[in-house]
Amino acid sequence: MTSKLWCALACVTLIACEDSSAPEPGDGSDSMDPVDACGEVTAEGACEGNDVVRCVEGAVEREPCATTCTTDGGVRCIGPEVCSGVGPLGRCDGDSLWRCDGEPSLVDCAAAGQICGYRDDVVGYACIDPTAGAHRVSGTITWEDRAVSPGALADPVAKPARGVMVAVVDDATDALLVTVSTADDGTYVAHYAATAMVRIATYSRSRSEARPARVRDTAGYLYAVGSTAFAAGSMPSVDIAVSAASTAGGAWNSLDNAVTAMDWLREQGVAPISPVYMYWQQTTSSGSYYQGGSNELHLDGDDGFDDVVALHELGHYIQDEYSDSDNPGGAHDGSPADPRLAWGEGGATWFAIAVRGVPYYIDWSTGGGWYVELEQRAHKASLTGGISQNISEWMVAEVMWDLIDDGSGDTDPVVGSTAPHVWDVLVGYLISSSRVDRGRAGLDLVEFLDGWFMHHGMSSCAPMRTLVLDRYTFPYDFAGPAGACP
Amino acid sequence: MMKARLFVFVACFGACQTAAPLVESDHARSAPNARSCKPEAPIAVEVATREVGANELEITARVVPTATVPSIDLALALPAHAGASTATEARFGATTAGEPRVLTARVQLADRRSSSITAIARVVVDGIDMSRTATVAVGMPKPAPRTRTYALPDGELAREVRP
Repeated sequence: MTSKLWCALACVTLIACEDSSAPEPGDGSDSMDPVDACGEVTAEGACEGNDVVRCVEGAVEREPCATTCTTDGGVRCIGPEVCSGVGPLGRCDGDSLWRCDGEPSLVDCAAAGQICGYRDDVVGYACIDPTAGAHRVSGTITWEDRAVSPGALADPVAKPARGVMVAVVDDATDALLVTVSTADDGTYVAHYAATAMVRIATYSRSRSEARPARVRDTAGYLYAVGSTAFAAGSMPSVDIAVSAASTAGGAWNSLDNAVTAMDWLREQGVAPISPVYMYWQQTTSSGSYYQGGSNELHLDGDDGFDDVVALHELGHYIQDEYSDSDNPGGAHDGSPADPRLAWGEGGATWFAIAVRGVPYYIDWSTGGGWYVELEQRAHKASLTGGISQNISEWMVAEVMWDLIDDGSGDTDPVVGSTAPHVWDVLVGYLISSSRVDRGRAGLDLVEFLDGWFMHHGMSSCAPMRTLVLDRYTFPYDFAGPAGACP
Repeated sequence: MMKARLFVFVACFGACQTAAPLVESDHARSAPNARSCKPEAPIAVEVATREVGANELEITARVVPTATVPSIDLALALPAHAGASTATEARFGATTAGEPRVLTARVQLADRRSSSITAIARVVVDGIDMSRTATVAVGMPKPAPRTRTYALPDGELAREVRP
């Protein structure tokens, strides 16, 4: 039946082609036959450059793609939205390869006689030789998050483990036979050669150069969660779920925060990303802190799911690696302190709330912990205290937040600036040789405000004066190296 | 086979022993850390337990502010299978830096299952309600998860939990 129908259509085409002479003007004939108008373009369509072209009701329709046209899984446009589950090392979907390190792309590896697999920690997933490994195993790694909000820690919710290390392990010797990384949807694919019993293990470490983070226990061991052992080649799919209640739950949350922080850095154009070595163990009570030099970030035992605390400490890592701080350190509680400490701590808190987009510092613990709201409150300075006075770290975070918080609920006069505008100052003026030390000796809020005008000119003088002088009563002189505000 | 026998023996010992102490670790402390980078409540919290009878503990929570504070709220968070015969919370007025405050309570546990007791201290700093906790484990120790430790090819060490 199908072949007969095809034949009938072919005949129609043939007849139309025989009558292909151009119509005489005014002869009243119909326009060109619609099938002929499509030529070789089919209803299924094809990619022509970055356009989707297909035959619709006898006419060729062309759809320019904003990013990429793909034929894999049907001819269609794909955009950045498809990248949420991919990550910097790509993703295999069967033998289709997703890459999002440039424009989104989807490649059918099988069309070139290849398979989709993991090449190495630099390239990640790619179309590879089909002889790579006798066996294929794939699966999904998930961990359970417990979201923090003021005074509460939510029930566990499974999330994909983004960019974590997965290995096929020889079960007898614990030798790693092959190592891969999960994509951002938690999926992995590994090809391996083995004849004995093996297992799958996932580790609290990212393999990608774009996310050089790992989480160790206080004895220096990576957390790992293994599957049951199975005969090589007998299990095509192995999933691993890390529960929030396990001794490893907080480690996966900490690693995910590092991934978030490093992705944020890459969005700002930072490359290469410096490594960070995180330490967390459920039972410890030694405080949360960052050690520059060794890039070690230590999290208290009850901070395993404290995203804001982890991101605050990652803020110190960013100050250490990409910006600057003269923070003298020591215990602090948010009350007015050495302005260098206030800058270091407030800047780190700004990073945490900027990444989350939520103006709350939250430190959860049994009984609900505590939190600080940083949008509506104003931890004011003294108008008569001079620019060298002790100030609250909360005030620093609040001022910086007000610079980027356009949108609903924004009550400050500064509009139009975003996190990259703050970032420009952090990695520009603050680390430049032209930085002038004003206020208290060392880096503090005064230099940041100076840098704001150095980078973004004097057009924001009026709203900045309202923000800094009126709202926070900080007696900044608006007369830094960029010049004096009118 | 030998390993399996050994495992069964250890598991049985752990499950059957009755002489285990009611308190896994009798003391815990949390205090502002000189190198800590996260903002913290300016108060040290210490909680200690002492067995005073069958399934009965005396809990002593001791707090010492590191800065003068207008007040201190101190409370014990007990597991669901515990009850108290004395107050488990107290409010102290203005307290100067270094001045200790103590809350002592008697707690009865229904059984010796693994759990914990937490002392929670709350102080107000510049209008912000901040807290610090110290937690002590009580009851039977939790069985340690089965783990394997080994080195990855680059020398990094891993401790793997198996199902």
